[in-house]
Amino acid sequence: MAKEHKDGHKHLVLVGNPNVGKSVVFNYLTGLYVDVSNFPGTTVDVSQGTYNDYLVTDTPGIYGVSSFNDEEKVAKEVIMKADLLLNVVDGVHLERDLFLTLQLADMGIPMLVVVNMMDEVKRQGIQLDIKRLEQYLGVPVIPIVAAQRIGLEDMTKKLATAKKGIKSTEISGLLEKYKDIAKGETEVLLALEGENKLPGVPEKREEIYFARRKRVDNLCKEVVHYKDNKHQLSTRIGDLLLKPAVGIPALLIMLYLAYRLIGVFAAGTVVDYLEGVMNTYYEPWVRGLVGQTIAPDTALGQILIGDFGVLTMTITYILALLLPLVISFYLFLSILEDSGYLPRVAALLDRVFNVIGLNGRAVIPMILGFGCVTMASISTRILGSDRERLIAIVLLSLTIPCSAQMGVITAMLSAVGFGYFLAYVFIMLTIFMLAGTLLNKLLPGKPTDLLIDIPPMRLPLLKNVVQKTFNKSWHFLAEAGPLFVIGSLLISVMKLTGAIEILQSVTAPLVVSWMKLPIEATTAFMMALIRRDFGAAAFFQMALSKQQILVAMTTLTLFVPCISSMVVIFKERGSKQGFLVIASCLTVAFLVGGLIAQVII
Amino acid sequence: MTLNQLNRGQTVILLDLPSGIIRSQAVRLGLMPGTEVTCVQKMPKGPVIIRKNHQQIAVGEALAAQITVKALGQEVARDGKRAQRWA
Repeated sequence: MAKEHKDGHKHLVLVGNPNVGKSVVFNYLTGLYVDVSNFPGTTVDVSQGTYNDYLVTDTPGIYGVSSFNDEEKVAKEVIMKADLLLNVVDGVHLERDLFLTLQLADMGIPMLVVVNMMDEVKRQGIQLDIKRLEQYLGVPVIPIVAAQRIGLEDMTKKLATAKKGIKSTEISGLLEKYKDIAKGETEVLLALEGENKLPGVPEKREEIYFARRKRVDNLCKEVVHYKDNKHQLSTRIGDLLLKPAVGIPALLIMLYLAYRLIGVFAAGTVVDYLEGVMNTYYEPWVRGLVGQTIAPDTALGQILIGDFGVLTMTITYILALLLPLVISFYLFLSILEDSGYLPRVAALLDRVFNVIGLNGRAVIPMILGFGCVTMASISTRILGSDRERLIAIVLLSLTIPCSAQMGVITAMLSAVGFGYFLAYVFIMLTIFMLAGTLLNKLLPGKPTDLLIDIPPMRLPLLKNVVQKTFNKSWHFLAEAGPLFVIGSLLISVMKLTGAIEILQSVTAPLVVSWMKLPIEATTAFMMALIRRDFGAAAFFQMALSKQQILVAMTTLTLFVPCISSMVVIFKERGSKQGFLVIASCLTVAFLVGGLIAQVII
Repeated sequence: MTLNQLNRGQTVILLDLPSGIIRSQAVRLGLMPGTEVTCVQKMPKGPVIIRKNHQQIAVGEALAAQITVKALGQEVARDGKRAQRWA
C-alpha cells in the first residue's frame, strides 16, 4: 500500500488507462528496486519505488477516478495522497484516455501528461497537435515512445514543471461555490461526482460526466487529425477478426498454436529436460547436503527431503515444471494482449459466456486455465462481479485440465483411439456448459454487461512482450510459490500420519465397484492432489482397458484441482465456499466417472 | 428502436442509456445521449460492435437492448417516408 511520505520525498503517482505503457514508464523511473504489495482490503497490487527525490507509485489501469471496482478504489486512494501526477495516455486512443486526464485536471493536483505510443500514432497516419493539447490542459505534455525509451529523459527533466490543470468553467464555478465546506478542492470535486458525501454539496455526477465527455470530444476534434486508414492492413485484420466466419477459425488456429507451444513444447520437451536435470543433479545433491545433519527417515527428514519433500519435490516442481509452463503461457498471453486480439475474442465469445453466467471478459481466466488452474484462479479477480468470479472458479477447477496433465491425458487417449479422445472432449464440454448454465440459473443475479473498448490491432514489440512475461511470471511465482510449499507440506504430513492409507481404504469401494477401476486407482487420485500430471502418469503405468482409460481420465479431470489451486480457491472464496467448490468437484467427478463406467464397461 | 437491432453499416444517434454504474462507464467510453455511432459488426444474438469517430466499442446484447437509438443513414435511405425527416 501507499507508504507515508519519507522526509523530503515528493509523492509522484502514475495514472492511466489499462495497457497504455504505464508500467514501462514506472520501470524506467524506479529501476529494479520495486516494492509490490497488496492494497489492504482488496486483491489489487500496488508497486512503489523511488526516483531521485520522488517516491513513485504505480496505480492499476483505470478509465476514471471513482469506485466502480477495486482498481478504481485503490487508484483513488493513492491519487488523493499524491503531490504530483504523471498521467500516461495512449496517443492512438486519446478519445478514450482524455476523459481521465480532464478528470485529473479538475481534481486540482499538479500534473504532467505523457502521450505514449507516438510511433504507433505515426504508423497509423494520425497527427497530434501536442502544443494545442498543452495549451488546453495547462500542463506540460510530453510525447514519448516508452518501449524505446524515446522522450523519457525529457519527461524526467520536466517533472519539476508539473502544474495544476485548467478546469472547465462549470467545475471552477462549482468548486468556488462550495470551497468553504471542505479543505481541498479534490474532496469537493469527488463529492460533486458522488464519490464521497460532504454535507451541503449536491451530487452532480451525471451532469459533470456529460460535460466532461463533450469537452473530450471537442478537444479531440482540435487535437487529433486522422488520415484515412481504412486500407491499412492492421485495420482490415482487426475488422475481419470480429466477423464470426473469420474470427472463429482464427481462434481455433490460435488455440492450436498455444497447444503446440505450451502443451507440447513447454509441458513436454522443456519440462522433461529440466526434470531430468533436477532429478539427476539437484535432488541427490540436496539430499546429501541435508542428510548430513538430519536423518532422511525422521519426520523432519521426510518433510524436507522425502519423496514429497519441500526441498526435493516442491523445488523441482516449481523450477522444472511450473516455471517453463508459466513463462510460456505468459509469453503467449502477452503477445495476445499487446496485439489487441483479446477484446475481439471477448466480443466473439460473449454470447456463449452469457449462457454460463459470465461475459466475454472471462475468456482470459479460461484460456489461462489450460496453462495452470492456479494461475487462472488468481486471474478471476479481473471479472466484473463476485458471482462471475465464483462461477469461473468452479468451472476452472471442475472442467479445465491444466497443461501439466493435458499432455499425459492426450497421450493416453490418443493411444487408445481418436474416438475416445473425442468422447473425452465431448464429455468435458457438456459438463462445462451444464455446470455453468446451472450455476447461472441457481445463483441470484445475472451476468454483468459487456462494455469494452476494441483497440486497433498492432504488432507486439518483442521488448515489451519479454518485459511483461518476466514481470507476470515473477509475480505469479512470488504469489503461488509459497502455496505450493504449503500444499506439499500438507501431503507430507498426511503421508507421515498414515492419513493417506486410511483415505485409500475408505474410497476403495467407490473406485472399484462403482467406477470399475483397479484398487490402485485410489493412489493415483491421491497423487493427482499433489500434481495433476502425477495422477495421470500413475494411470499410465496401470494395465487398463480402453474403457477404463476413458473413465479414469474423465474422473481425473473433473476431480479437484491440485492442492495449490485449492489453497488459492480457499484464499479467494473463503473457507465455506471453498469447501463447497471442492465438495461439488468430488461429487461430480465420481458421479460422472461412475455413470460412464456403468454404461460402457 | 434499440442498439441491438442495428444492421451493419447503420448509423444511429443514442437516445437513452440504462441508469447506474453502467451509464457512467458508458459516458467514459464516449457513449451518451446524442452520440452518433455506426454499427460495424453484429454477432448473431451477441454483442454489437459500434464505432464512434475512430474508436470501436463492443456492447453486450443485454445492454444493447436497453439502449434506445434513433436511426440515421442507411436504414432511413431504404425507407422513403422517414428519409426526409432525418436527411
